[in-house]
Amino acid sequence: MLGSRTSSLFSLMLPLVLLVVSVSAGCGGGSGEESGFRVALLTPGSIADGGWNAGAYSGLLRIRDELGARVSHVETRTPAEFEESFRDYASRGYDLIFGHGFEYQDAAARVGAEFPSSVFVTTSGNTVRANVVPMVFELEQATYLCGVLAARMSRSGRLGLIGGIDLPSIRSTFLAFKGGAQAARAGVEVREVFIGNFDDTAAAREAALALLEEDVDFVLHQANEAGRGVFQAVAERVEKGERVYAFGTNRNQNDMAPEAVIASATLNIPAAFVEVARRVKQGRFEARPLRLGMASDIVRLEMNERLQGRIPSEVAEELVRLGEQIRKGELVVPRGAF
Amino acid sequence: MEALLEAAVRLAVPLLLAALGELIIERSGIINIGTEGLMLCGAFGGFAIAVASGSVWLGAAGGGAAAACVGVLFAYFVVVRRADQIVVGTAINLLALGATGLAVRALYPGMAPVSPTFGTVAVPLLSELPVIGGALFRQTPYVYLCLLITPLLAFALARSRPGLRLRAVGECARAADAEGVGVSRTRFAAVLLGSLLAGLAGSALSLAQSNTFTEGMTAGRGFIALTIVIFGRWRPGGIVLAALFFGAASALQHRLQARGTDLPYQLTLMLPYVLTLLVLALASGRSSAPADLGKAYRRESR
Amino acid sequence: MTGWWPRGLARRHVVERFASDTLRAAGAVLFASLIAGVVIAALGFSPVEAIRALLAGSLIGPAALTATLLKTGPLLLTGLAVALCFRCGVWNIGAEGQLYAGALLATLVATRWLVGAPAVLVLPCLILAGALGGALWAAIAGALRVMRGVNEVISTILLNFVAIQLVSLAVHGPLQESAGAYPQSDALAQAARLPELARIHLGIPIAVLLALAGSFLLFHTAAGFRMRAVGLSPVAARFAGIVPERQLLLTICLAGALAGLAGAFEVSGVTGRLFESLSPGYGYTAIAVALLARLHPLAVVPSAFFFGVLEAGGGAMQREAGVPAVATDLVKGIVILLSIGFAAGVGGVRRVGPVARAPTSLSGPQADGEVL
Repeated sequence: MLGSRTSSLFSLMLPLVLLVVSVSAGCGGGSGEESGFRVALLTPGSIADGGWNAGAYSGLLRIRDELGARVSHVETRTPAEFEESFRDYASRGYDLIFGHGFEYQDAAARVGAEFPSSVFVTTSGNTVRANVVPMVFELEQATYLCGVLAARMSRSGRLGLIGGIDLPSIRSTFLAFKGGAQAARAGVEVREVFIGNFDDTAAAREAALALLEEDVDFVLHQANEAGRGVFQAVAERVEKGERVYAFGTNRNQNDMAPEAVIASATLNIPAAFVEVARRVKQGRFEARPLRLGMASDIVRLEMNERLQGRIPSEVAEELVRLGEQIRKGELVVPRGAF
Repeated sequence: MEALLEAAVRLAVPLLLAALGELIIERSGIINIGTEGLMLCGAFGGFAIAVASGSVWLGAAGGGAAAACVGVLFAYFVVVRRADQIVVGTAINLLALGATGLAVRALYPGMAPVSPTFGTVAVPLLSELPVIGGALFRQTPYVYLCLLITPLLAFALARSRPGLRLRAVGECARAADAEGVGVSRTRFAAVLLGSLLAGLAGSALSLAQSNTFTEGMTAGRGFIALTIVIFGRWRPGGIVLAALFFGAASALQHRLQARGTDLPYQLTLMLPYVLTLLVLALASGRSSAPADLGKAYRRESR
Repeated sequence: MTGWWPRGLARRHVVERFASDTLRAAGAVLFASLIAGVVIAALGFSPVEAIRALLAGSLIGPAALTATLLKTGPLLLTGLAVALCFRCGVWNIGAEGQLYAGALLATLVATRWLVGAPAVLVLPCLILAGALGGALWAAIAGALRVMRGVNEVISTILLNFVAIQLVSLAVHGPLQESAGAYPQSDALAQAARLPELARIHLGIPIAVLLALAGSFLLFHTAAGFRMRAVGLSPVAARFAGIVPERQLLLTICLAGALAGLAGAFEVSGVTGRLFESLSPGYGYTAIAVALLARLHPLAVVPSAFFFGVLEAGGGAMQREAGVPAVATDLVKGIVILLSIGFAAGVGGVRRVGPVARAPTSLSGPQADGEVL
């Protein structure tokens, strides 16, 4: 049909080569030499998750708007891409590069050594170099308070936790929740379920139903996007007239199920990002871990006003008092060693 | 116990619908590994239409229709172009993941909204039955759909004319062709119907089992549906049992954890796959699979 | 375009076939780019900017090329694995699982058994362990096929899921780092890291050599002839005194070893640790790689490079033009469908009846009904 033309295996690449030539001719020197403050973000998942990654992305957008930075974002899917993206941004002169998770530490340390003029910040982690620091959110402080609230109000004395993947950061918030619960009420039982991912809302709902069947009446989730299934399950029970509650995490999720979510342990990721970026921009960067908790108002326990009337006043007062102690550093909540 | 049964049935439903869809397709001699992608399209289509219209019923229909549209694509390549079925199935899975991921971000920047959902509907009297009442008759409409179509499908496959044609095409396309059965037409129809069911299964995930769409929310259920067909020996009855078994395993897994058993979740997540491998190893896979499964049919041109 | 089956065996047709195959592959790539551009535009992004970013981020400059080559490596090995199997009539969809199995065994050797050993000892062992892990994992599917008649399509898919969960279990349990904090293995010692030049690790040239070796094996040796003969017609092969079952086992184990190597190279050459999400689906993209290469081991090299461009460029497209990374999945899907479309049902893409099925359903050499 095609006759016998001279052929080469590698002529598969011909269209590519043509495209490259035309494109590189078109874009000249490239856009890499601009001046000004530049910030990049690497997320381990979709920024449409309404939680962990979405928070980081809106932080990036606020850095753009408030600090006039040029920003860029990439979703990395494998460890091989961590280093590649760090390197790409650093080589193009980005001043500050966020890696939004513990998993970015190794790559940040490696690339950081080669590009001393860029600052690398990983969200959680423990690797510190001259230009690489972790930014550790002390969400534990808020989940500790959730534990106190739940233990004080629970009728069954059983509380539930739902996690996505079993990660140390998640275990740590659970540990604090248990610590708060047991401090508030001896003998309170805390049950945990992990669903194995962060996307499967149906599995999260089922896990919540399983806990509710076990007489659990307060559920805190750390399942990111899948956590919406938890709210759905709890809200269904509330509609049937049961007194059961859920906690929101990371963001204020009180309005996602207004009759079910009693409070949210919130993490103002955007504010933290802006704060870090401001320091770097003003040359106030220090090579030590940034701990951001209730003292800096990055972590908070935000109550759902609709359900606030259900909280006995002495419990509400206790929460305020404990919150104050945590802020002042008088009360140190348990957290995982990682 | 009743709660466990209820959960088992609830969790089995999307698996069952998808597996029945796969059964129809496989009975026609086509192996479709794109069920995961079809379900994802159904989950997204159902969600988007339910959000836009405010009606769960329109949503469910839209989910089925969305998957059927992708099914047309699959059928075109597999039946008309006679391309390799495994390869096209893989392409469908990639395509669906990319398309739904892009669409959800484009349509709902920030976060996908909450959609209307199917609530549970109790059947009067029957839902009061001991033990099985709640499990079978106090459920979402998807369960009733399954109760309706499973016997219907079993009957149709065993006794009806279209069912016999379908099986004939899957067992020996050449002979069926010689008998005057339109092989391509039958296979095309089977793919459409099967995709529709996979789409409905997907919509059950977004409209009944949860109230939103998340990227990749099918979480491998399409592949479990594939194993259920094998596990159920390509028979509707066996498939119901297999789907219930996997539904129960999943329900039990959450409950074991909720009761404080420290079981690594990875073990339960791999359970369906390991069990199916074991079943395949112990029972010969040849006897019950349609004989022409996976083979493109070409008429002799000479 | 009739009588396709002797063509794979007759040398003089090879040149002609390459010419048409190459044109078809190029057509598929161009049309896929066009469709993707339209989709990207429809979503409100600038397609010109997106494609510029994709190409610039994957081909222009040493960093971009390195990124592309690092993705090309695993795609080349898994693509070879798939091409080898498909050509020999073995429908191995399990390259992903075999990659994970190889990575798991390689990590076990490097971080548990041979800690502190010198590079001359640990590197060969690690590489062998990777190949062995993949081969053993593939052998399960092969044995099920040969001994119990289990369709390898199903068993390899199932084994993928099991392998991924096994790795998850391992990095949460026995292989977890000594610090016990994160679900990852210990970092591999420097001696266990593949030598690299400008971040291009040794695994990549090895992969290219293996493509050459694969091509030689398949087309210039008696063993390769036997394997291909089974792919063309198991019945005819049996008449010629070839035992299809033995060939099938051999093929799938070889393929598993290749995919397992990809896993070992990722751990030892790129990440330095074992993680849960080691592969972004290389084993599935490999199917597209093999198809675009029309199942020829040598053509897998440019084909893997093309998908490497796509993977690396996908990241750049997001960094520069804001196009979400899932767009690359869409492009992969379209490339597969189009390369089938351009193939017009010829040669490698057609499904050869799996081996060891009831012989009645295998009706000898068939003619292609249609020509596009």
